[in-house]
Amino acid sequence: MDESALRKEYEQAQAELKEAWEAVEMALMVHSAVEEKYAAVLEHFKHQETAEAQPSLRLKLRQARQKIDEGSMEYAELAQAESIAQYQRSLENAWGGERRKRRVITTARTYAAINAAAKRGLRPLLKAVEASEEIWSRVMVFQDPETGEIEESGDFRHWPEGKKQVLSVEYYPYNFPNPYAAYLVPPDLKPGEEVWLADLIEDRVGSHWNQGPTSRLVSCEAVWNGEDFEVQYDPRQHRAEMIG
Amino acid sequence: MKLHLATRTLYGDDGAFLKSLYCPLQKSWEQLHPDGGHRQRSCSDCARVVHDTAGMTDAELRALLDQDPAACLRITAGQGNLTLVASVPPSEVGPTGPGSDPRTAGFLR
Repeated sequence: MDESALRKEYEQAQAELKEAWEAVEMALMVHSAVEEKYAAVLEHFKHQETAEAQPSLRLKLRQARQKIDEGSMEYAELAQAESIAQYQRSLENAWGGERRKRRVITTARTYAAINAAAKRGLRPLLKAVEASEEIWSRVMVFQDPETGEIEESGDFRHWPEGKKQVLSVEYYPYNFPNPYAAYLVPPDLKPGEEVWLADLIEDRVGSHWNQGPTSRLVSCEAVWNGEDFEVQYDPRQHRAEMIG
Repeated sequence: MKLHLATRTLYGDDGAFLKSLYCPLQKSWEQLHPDGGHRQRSCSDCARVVHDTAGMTDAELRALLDQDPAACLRITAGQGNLTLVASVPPSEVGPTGPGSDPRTAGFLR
């Protein structure tokens, strides 16, 4: 395959992946909304013990539970969408040389997605999702003394005129759906095989900026030792630079 | 231009989305081939040109990305035309308020 065809295939796969994740995010939002409703119904139910109220609330409860189950199933299906598999294949094919031989290992970050992968024959390798103290960001909030409106900046070079700094917060800038996640290990992976971890669970510093904030390393090479992945992380790649 | 560090997303000073930065090869500027002058280099692995954004205006960058939305970029922490932002611009967030879609209000698009 020539370069332009490879590039086109890769870009198409990227677009498909983005679309799939947008759909996953939407399903997750629907799921969360139903879960909130379920919790509200449950709370209401606790305080309503009259014989008249119970049948109607039980019905609402059952309906809410059903919606959660539907949302979970939809999420699991979307998380394992064919477009993600296509992305993996394209990524594996798109890069030449040694990278062509390196398989891509994906990560499942939800209960439903992990179990869906297990049912498809992949072995989920569970890891705790732990925030590293080395990874942080900063936001400064400025307020107009007259109007009360705010403006924010994460950069010491940007100080809005006429506004007073009221807050400076350092924080961990990432959110994950669960405190655990799993690498999805193909059953035929051999010890010593080099792979590409597409969504790294472990926190490693991917970039380090001159004002202090850092960002996570998204992906990394690794070697499967038969029980775990040995992340081939090179700290020399800490840099105040982004390519992409 | 503005960079949201955590999501590696680049915006114009007006808050309009420009590009999400991602290089699966984790290349550094030094690993690229300096065959295109001081403002661009080429990657021998994927045969793409990487543009240095340090001397570019928002308009120049937007014109480049209009031509090739997947154009590879280099951004460094100290470049004078870049500020770090902590949250995504309003243009990237679903509208809130009366009549808005409750499934998307306040969430990333």
